[in-house]
Amino acid sequence: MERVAINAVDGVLLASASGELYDELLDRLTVDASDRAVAPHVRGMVLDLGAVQIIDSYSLMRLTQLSRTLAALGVDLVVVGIRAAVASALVELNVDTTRLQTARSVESAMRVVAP
Amino acid sequence: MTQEETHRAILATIDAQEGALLEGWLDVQRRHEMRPELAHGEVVLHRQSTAFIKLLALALRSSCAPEHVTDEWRRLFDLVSEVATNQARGGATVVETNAFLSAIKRPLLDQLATYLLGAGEIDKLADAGWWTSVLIDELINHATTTYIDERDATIRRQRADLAELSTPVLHLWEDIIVMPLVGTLDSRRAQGVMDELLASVETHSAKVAILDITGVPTVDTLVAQHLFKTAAAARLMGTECLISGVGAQIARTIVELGIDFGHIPTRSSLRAALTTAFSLTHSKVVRVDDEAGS
Repeated sequence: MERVAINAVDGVLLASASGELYDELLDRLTVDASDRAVAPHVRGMVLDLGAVQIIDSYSLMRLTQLSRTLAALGVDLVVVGIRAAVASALVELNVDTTRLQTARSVESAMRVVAP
Repeated sequence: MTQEETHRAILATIDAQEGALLEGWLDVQRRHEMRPELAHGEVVLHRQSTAFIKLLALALRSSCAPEHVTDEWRRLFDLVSEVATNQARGGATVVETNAFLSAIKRPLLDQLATYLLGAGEIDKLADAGWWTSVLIDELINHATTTYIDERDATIRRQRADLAELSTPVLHLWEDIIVMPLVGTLDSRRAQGVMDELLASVETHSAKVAILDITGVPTVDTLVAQHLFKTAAAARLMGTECLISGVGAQIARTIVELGIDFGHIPTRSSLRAALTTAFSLTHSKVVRVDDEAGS
């Protein structure tokens, strides 16, 4: 089964998803990320969605849930790389997008989670 | 006298007194108070009027029955369309456009009366007058319709031009882009604005995007919604969106309409927004002499 690989760099978890964010993938990502987040020295997680072609309201909700799960473990989630087309389609769905922390690049996300 | 008989009488009138009819018509047209920029000059007036009478005669010769529309009648209506279109493009009002056709009524009736008198049918003048009026009115209606169509086309053209008005995105400063919006934002244009801004956010990977609405005359609920969406989408891409150029009047309107800009920072001037953008990008602009400590 396809899964999102998570790497750790200087106490920051790095993951990069591609294609479509289907349910099993998000389930797996939530479990993997929270398992890794409990390790000592982990301060944040950066999720790159640059290669994701579509995000619907359900996957957005799951991403928000992931963010809250990690927050409960004291880890900040920052999402980066959302494409213009994906972003404009997502705001048309009238969903609350404000609860997801975003940054314009992996670099700036790193500065947010590990200043 | 029926409509068809009237048409026959008009045809006979034109055949007998074409010159007098044309002169009478031109006379009325010359006496019209035309605004100087719309005045066509004698040559155009003469050509248009002659062509109209010729085509009217041809149309009547092809068919006097009103229900039978021949190609000749279509050519006559086409000429009317052409005149009306030119007038509309030249900026004439609908009344000024129709003056051309209204002007023929009096001389045509005069000549028709002369003809009927000669034919010993002057008692039929009332009916003939009525049916003549119907014919000219129909042509005037056609001119009006054409005029309105032409105006609509102009409006559509201008709307398309407005939509295509480039909405430039200015790379104002390191990590700061500005999009100055000018003109009314309807849904279609707002969508274009959003696409343009997001595309720039993607290429420049800016940290702050300022939407300046100084040039937007009114902000209603719909425009506000579009601005929200644009800001929300930019934020999803990791770019903070600021709205600047919110005037006092717009601020009052926003509150009266119950629009809540929520977490999108708004500023009255681009200058104020730029100050905010500097603090968001951790930049500072200082005077050289301050720096030197003089």
